[in-house]
Order: sequence, then structure tokens, then C-alpha cells
Amino acid sequence: MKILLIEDELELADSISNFLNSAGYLVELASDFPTAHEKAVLYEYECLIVDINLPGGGTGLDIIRALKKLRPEAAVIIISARNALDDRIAGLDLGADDYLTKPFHLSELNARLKALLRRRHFGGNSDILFHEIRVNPNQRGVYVNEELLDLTPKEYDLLLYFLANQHRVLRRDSIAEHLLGDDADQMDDFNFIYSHIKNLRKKLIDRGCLDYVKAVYGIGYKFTDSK
Amino acid sequence: MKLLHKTQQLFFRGVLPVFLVAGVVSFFTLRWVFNHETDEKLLGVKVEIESYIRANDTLPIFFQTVFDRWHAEPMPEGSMKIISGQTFSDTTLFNKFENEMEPFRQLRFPVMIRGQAWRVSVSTSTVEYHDVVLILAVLLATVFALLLLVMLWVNRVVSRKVWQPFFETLEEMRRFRLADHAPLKLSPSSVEEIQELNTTLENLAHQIRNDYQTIKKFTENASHELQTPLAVIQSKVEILLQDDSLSEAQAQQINIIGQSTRRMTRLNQSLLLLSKIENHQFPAREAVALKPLLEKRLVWLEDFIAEKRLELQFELTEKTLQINPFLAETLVTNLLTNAVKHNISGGMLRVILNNIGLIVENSAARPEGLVADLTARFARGNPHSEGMGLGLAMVLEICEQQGFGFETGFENGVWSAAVFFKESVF
Repeated sequence: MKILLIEDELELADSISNFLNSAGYLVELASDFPTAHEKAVLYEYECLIVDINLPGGGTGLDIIRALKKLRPEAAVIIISARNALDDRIAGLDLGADDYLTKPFHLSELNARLKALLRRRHFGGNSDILFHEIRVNPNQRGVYVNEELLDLTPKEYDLLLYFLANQHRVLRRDSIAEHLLGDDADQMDDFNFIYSHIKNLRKKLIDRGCLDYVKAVYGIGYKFTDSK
Repeated sequence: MKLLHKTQQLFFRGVLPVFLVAGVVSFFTLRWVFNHETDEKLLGVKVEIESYIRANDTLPIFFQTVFDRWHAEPMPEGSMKIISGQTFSDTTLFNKFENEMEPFRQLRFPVMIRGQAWRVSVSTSTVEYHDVVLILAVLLATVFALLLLVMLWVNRVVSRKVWQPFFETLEEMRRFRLADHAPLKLSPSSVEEIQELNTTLENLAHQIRNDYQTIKKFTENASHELQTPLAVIQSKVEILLQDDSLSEAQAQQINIIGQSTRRMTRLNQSLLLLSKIENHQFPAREAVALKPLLEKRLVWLEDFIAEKRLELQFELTEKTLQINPFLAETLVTNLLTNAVKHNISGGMLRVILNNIGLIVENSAARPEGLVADLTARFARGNPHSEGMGLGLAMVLEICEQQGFGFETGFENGVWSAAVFFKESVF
């Protein structure tokens, strides 16, 4: 799956490429406006990840505008340091699918990218499978060994976030911010996620699911089937 | 002091001495002129008497008009030398026609009649002169009073007319807001000074606006520039943590870098938001219902409330405010998150919304330092809390912009923050 990453900060671009590569994507990088514009118009990508401020005579918004004229269905995620409301509205108005404010967690970007691509390809109707776990995102239904599991909305979000970032260490900050949304920066004490994780784990194990949620001491959690 | 009063005061200060001096000078001039005339007249009488004596070698028998009197008395031997020459003096004599004492001017001079020295005094009444002085004083006072009245009236009319464009300019300046998009535009005036003032003010406002825009851009750019390196650090932390070859201790150190980066990010964003609020960058107002806003935020906070096992009480009535929706949300969010963050385990959280105001109360350990200082930037009740203390500063700023009252207090282990929608209620 080919992704075009438009980002002028090379170190950040490197991190994103690195992370997404290991998640199985093929990432192409464009670090200035002319290159980005050319690639966005000439080639087809599964998704474009676009920074708004770019060197070289144009903004990410200009690229989205040009792209949407050509391929209205193209998937676009904006990543921008500007959390100005205007930019966000302008970006979403132009047809961008999502908006992430820098700095963001790579696992969050990964989860949003996965969700976006799933919506794009299957209208949300493709199930997510992980051993005995099956999730139908369209119905927000979770099945363990084909038995429906009753989860709270937060537990469901948590499970989906784990599934999107399998085998990765997820920091507690990252998990909390995923569950709370943009306003997470209002709070600084994230002990509460412990109880959600405990409950989710218990519900999964009670249905005969293996314990895939591993605590990483002092840091966070990892969802993995390896030991 | 008003400009009108100032000019009047100056006028009084300038004109009063002039009138006083004019009065005194007139008085003395008049007296000199009058005395001179009187003396001439008396000298005339003297010449007549002397020529009569020279011709007849005797005192005139009858030489008296109604107003002029004369009197002669022999002088002792040898005193001739002493009283030689004439002397003028002022005196009072009895006027038998008016039957009262009157002021007189008197001329005394010696004459020789058949070897005998006589002292002759000739007097003339000066009562008219005193009348004239009185009339003059009254006249001067009247003119002065009249002049004052006219001046006050003229001043009033002129002020109103002449200063009209000035007050228009003042009103425009009062309405001028830096955050507004329109530049300052003053109506042109035909008065040179006012036009000059307007031009200067317009240039000044233009300059300030430019500086303001530059600072706004700078703030935004600074925040942008800061967020990019923060994003780089954050991403590197996440990449590093995926490395299986890290020891547990190393991973924890790296995680702490990540947590600090997050704090820095939040601080950066809070400061940016506060300066945006202080710069009035959220001017658009609309009707905002507070109750749903509070309920939404309480639901959002439910995990934190559960985590601290807080006892939640609320009495919410419908209340709509004319306010910028974003500011309303910031106000509510900051009050509630503050009350949860600084609450104690098993504490109480009470939210009351009615027509008068919004009150949020929470259990708290005694806040260190002065309660009022908590709203100052970076003030923190609890030094171990990660809260940046900017929350209440934002609440205070929003209240000031809305004309709301804001009070905080701490009593019996309960911290309370109250927003009064209209200050006039209290």
C-alpha cells in the first residue's frame, strides 16, 4: 500500500516513514511544495499524509485542492503544527478526511490511517481479525470465538487501538490521548486507563481469549501474541 | 477639569488683575485730574483776592460762592516767613446748605495788608469727585460682570462648535479595537489642528496595528517552530521504544523524555491559547447554552471522577449566554477540569448553574499561598501537580472580557470558583 508523505521536517518524516514501513506500508516522501504537487498529481496513492506549511511556494492546502479536483475520492490526512481552527476547517472543507495536530503519536497516526483506509476500501465492512478475536467496525461489534462480547465504548476504542498497533509498545500518554480525543491535554493524570485495560483484559480472557495485553513496566502496554 | 472650565479659569486669572489694575489706575488718574482742576480754580480765586488787596489794600468783604468759601485770619508777627508760599490740602468742612460734613479742597496762602500778615484759606467742595469715583467703580464692576457673562456664553458656544470634531475623534478612538480587522478611519476635518491630530492618530494606530499583527504572527510562528521539534522528539521516542534491544531502565528513561515533551507541548499550547484570548482573537458571539456544555464536559471527565471516587453533585438550570462558543467551552472546561485535577481522593465536586452564575466547588487540600494569586500565570496550589496554573488565568481573562465577575475562595476544605454573569447583580 503506497502512501505519499508530504512533510518538510526530514527527521519527523524519517520517523513517520520508519513507523509506517514497519506497519507494512510503502512510504514515499516529498519534502517541498513542487515535488509534493507533482507526485500528488502524477501518481496514485492509497493515502496522502500532508503537512500544511511547506517550503517552495505553496501550502499543503493547495495540494489537497489540486488533488481533489483530479481524484475527489483520494484519502487525505492533514498533519499540521498549526492548531488554528481556521486551518482545520479549511482542510476538512477541502475534503481532507482527518486532521492531526503536531506533535502526535505515531501509533495514533497509524490507527487513523488504518481506519481511514478500511472505510475507503470496504465501507467499514471488512472485519479485523486477530486469532480468536473478530471486530466488525461497522457495527462496533467484537466477537471472541464468534461469541459477541459486550464492551463499553472506551473498551472498544482501546481494543481497536491495540489491534491497529499490534506488537508495538504503546505509551500510556498515547493510549489516554486516543481515548480522550483532542481535549486530553487538559488532564495530566492518566491512571484511569488502567481500569479500562483491566476490564477489557478480563472480558477477553473470560471468553477464552488468550491474554494478548502485556504491561510494559513504567511505560505502557503492548498488544501481541508473541511471549 | 473640562477644557471649558480650564479656559474659563484662565480667563478669570488673566482678566481679573487687568480689571483691578485698570480700576486703581483710573481712580488715581481721576483724582489727579480732579485735584488739578480744583487747584487751578482755587489759584484763580487766590489771584483775584490778591489783585483786590493790591487795589484796595483791604480784604474783600464778600467773596463767597455757594461752593467756594474763603476765610482770613491775622497771623502773629514773624510767622510770615514760616508760612510763606501756598499749600493745598484736603479737609472736611460743614456744608450748611446740605447740613452735613463734606470733603473740601483747601488752598492756604499769606497776604500782607497794611503791614499785617494774614493767612487766607480758600476752599471748594469736592463732593462731586467722590460721587464720580463711586459711579466709576459701579460702572467698572458692571462692565466686568457683563464681559464675563458674554465670555462664558461665547466660550460655551465656541467650545461646542470648535471642539466637535475633537470629540468625534475621541469617540472613534474609544471604539477602536486592535483585534478588529478594520484600520482606524477618522472623519476628515477642515480645522488644521484637528486634521493634524487625526492624521497623527491614524498613523499611530496603523503603526500599532502593524506591530500587533507582527506579534500575533510571531506568537503563531514561535508556537509552530516549537511544535515541530517537539513532534520530532515525540516521534523519536516512540520509534526508540519499539526497539527490543533496549533494557528496561533505558526504555523508562526514554519514556520520561516522552512525558516531558508532552508537558512542554501542553505548556506551549496553553500559552498560545491564553495569548490568543488576551489578544481578543475570539470576537464572534452567539447564543450558547451552558447546561449541555457542562453535561458534555462532565461526561468527558467521568473517568477522572471515577478514578478519584468523587462525589458529584449538580444543580443545572437552563442558561443561555451571548458569548464566543470557543470561549464558553474553554471557560467551562477549565473550571471543571481544575476542580477535578485539584480534588482529593474521595472528595466532593459540586456544580451549580443558574441565572446568576456558575459555581464550581471541590474538596481540596489547603492551597498554598494566597487564594487570589492562583489565577496568576503558573501559580500552582500543589507543587507536585503537573497543572500549569494557566487554566484559571484563562477563566479570569474570559470573565474580564465578558464583563463577568469572578471570585474564588477556600473555606473548610472546599475550594470554590464562581462566575457571575453580570457584575451588576452584586
